[in-house]
Amino acid sequence: MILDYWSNPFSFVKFGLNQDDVFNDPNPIVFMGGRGTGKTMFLRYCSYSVQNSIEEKSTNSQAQKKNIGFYIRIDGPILRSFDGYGVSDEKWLVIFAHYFELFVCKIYFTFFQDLIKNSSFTLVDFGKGFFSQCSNLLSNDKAQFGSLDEIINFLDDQVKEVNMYRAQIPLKNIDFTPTIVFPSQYLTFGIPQIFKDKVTGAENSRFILMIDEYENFLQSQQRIINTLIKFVIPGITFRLGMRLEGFRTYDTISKDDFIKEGRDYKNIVFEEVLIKDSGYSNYLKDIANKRLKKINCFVENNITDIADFLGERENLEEESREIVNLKGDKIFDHYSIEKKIRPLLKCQENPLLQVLNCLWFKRGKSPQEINNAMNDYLAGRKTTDSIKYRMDYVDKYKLSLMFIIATTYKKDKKYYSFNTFSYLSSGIVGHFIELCRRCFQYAEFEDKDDLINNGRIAKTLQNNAARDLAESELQQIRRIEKYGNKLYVLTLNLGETFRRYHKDILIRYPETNQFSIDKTLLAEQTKEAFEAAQRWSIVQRKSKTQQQSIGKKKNDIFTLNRVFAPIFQFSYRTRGGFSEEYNSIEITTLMEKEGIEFRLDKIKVKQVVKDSNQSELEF
Amino acid sequence: MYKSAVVGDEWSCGIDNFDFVFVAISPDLRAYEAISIAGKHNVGIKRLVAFNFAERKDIVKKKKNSGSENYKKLSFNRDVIECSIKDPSDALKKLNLEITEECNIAVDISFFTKPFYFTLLNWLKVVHNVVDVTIFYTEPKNYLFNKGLYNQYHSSFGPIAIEEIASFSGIDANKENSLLILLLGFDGDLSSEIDEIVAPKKTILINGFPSYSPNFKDISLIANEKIVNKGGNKLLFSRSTNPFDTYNLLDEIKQKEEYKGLFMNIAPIGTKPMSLGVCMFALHNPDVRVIYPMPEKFEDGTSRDTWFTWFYNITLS
Repeated sequence: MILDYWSNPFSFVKFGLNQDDVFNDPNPIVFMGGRGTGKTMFLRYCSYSVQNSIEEKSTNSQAQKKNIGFYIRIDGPILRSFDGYGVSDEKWLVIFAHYFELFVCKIYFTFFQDLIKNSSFTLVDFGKGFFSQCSNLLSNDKAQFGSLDEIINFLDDQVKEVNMYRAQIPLKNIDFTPTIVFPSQYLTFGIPQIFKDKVTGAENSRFILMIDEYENFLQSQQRIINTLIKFVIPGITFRLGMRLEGFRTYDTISKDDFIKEGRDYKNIVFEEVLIKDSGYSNYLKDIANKRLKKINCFVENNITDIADFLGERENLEEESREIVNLKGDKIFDHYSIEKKIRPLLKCQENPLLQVLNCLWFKRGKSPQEINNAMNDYLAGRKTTDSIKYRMDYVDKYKLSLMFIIATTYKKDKKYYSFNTFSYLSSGIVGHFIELCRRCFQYAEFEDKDDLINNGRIAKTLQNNAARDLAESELQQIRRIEKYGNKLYVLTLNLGETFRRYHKDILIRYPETNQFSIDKTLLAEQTKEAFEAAQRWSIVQRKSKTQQQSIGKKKNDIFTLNRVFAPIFQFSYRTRGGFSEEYNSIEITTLMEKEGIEFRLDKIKVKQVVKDSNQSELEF
Repeated sequence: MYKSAVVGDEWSCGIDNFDFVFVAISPDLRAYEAISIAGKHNVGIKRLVAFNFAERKDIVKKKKNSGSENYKKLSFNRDVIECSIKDPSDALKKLNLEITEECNIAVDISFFTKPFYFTLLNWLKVVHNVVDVTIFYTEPKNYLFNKGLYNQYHSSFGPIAIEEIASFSGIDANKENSLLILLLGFDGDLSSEIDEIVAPKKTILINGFPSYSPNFKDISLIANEKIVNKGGNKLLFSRSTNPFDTYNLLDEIKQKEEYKGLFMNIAPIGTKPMSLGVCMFALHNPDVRVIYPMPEKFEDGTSRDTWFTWFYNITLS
């Protein structure tokens, strides 16, 4: 299954390391990213079972053959069950360390079994020496194992003891009395050593423990794993997959020691790389197209490119014409443009230009200058004004103008096209797939013929899909453990704030959908909640610190996940430039009460009444 | 073979004297319907064990006039257990009741949360070796859909944490691959969340059919559209009013060759009677795990008025 749909991110996106590094680098690597960024798919792909399938197709590099990736995932409910019920934290720590050792050990031995079953690894011979050492390590020689099955049965029995304890401790106070207790490192490091020492052909192998969903590990449990990471020995290393801010602690078991990025592990942030890398959209296209190629009717009709279904890019001119519907005067009314100068500013063919003309007029250009600039631009004549006009339209304001039109006509801007979806997904591959899934679902229901025969999905249906996903993601925020309600309110407040920026008819801060904070100054609980927002990709940190705006100090910049854009009607892309700036108290307030806004006076347009009793807008 | 019927005008459950009856104090009269009926039929209850949840105290007080404290009016001896709805383990470990396996025990599950009554029944089984228990359940007359019939219904609100139900962690949790059996409810977000967290190799969805009301089966399918449409997921049906039907279906699934070797996870989000079927099945099969989305807060008013009161005689082992 994984191989059927596998799209190699390394082929499209520059992560700062290549695929072989994932296997070869002896240092631990942490892969951070929000839900749906592809961490699990990636770690699973690197696991020995998937690599083994590739091996059969003989496309694997030599590096990957001697490096064995073990995919390890313990789900949250299990991890959280090692806590409470009147048992002290210290006791749970010992019990979990024991459980983790057994869990990993079982995975090792399942791999050894696969080696024997798998003809491509005929060099492996588990001899007496191997079993003798395993017997010693696992049972202090109380048991003499002669086969892998015997060892696996033994491990199963030990795990069962832990599970029995987990099942009974909620009902009665009992002691944990296992047959044998394995301390941390004992088996995770011990068994690979025996394998390398005693199995012919395995001398140079490296065990790579790929632990997924590390954010689910409790703080005390992370301390155990952090210790393993800190003290990795040759031949064993770690790859961790986790959400952003997934480290609950950097501490190790020893109170004086901690792990540090750069020194003890390398950190790759999937989301940050994916958002900014130009190869991201090609990566998405490859992912979607691989799925489309599995559907017979599309293959038969030779329509297997997602961009054909969705359209490569949105057509803003067409969209604006549909909204305006030849009733362009409303734009002039919105800008309080006097009737006599309207003919010079009018552009029926392209309402976006008409809005730009109004904007230029409000910025002090004369109607004639504007008219000349527009006509020169449309005719392709290069003058100082027409060049500026073109820059303002194409490079600077086109999308903002569209939002003004939508505001003016009290309609929603539509979100459609492959390019838009690529931006909306915000570096989260899962969002993109879900956007596409919902599109196809709508199209199958509403216009199956056009979908199958022409490979087209109407932009209204695409917009519905984008809106549905946004709503669904917004509703799910409330479900987030512990801080769900705060994060929901924060999202509403940020979304509404950015909506207001997009309604500003003077477009003073175009496409603003980012804000800056100094996280170190946040109050403790606000910081925790904010980190939860990052963990769930509700807000996303930009990869580099930026000036909050020109002339201000550099700080961390965050964007509200663009998947919410269809609800709040803000831009699906992040242009940079201006960032709303919040302090700790403001962020706390934004999390606690709906309808909060700060410093939006600067984009307000005031209604003033002049002597002639004529109402005007004051800018 | 099992025994279940409606009690009301007739007392047909076959037991006229109970040593212990466990109920949950609630703002809704439905919580005391079964014991009221028992009282009318002069059924003996030596000890009424009433769990008074801290989380409900305010609303119970507020609704005093509409009968939320009516359990006090009944003549049975009673113990009121002060506890938290979130921590059945703590409440049960502190209980000091002389329960023996010979005792006649009844539990009215109408207003216990599912996680709480699951743990309570397991506690009776494991700590007190109780084998037979009578379960009472009074159906609500109406479910409240605050946001409209086909919009989202939530039996809980706010943040949730998907957890193993205390004491139902399943002793087979070391198996490499798992099977998730999801009993569909109206709360569509939850099912996808659970599926993602368990990350099973196979998922089976069970929809309540026939349902309490003809359109309920459709509402649950619409609400769970995402997971229902996920490739490879199997959709099965079980009567929403009959725990034994759910039990048999689960048993059938477990016997199937294609699911052997998979660690079985069950999420009882569906109706209360269906969840009782899950509970019985899990009690009889301790190797399976039961998981549940534990809310920070349960909704208080998701149903209204009383309908039939059922009894089910079940065995815990």
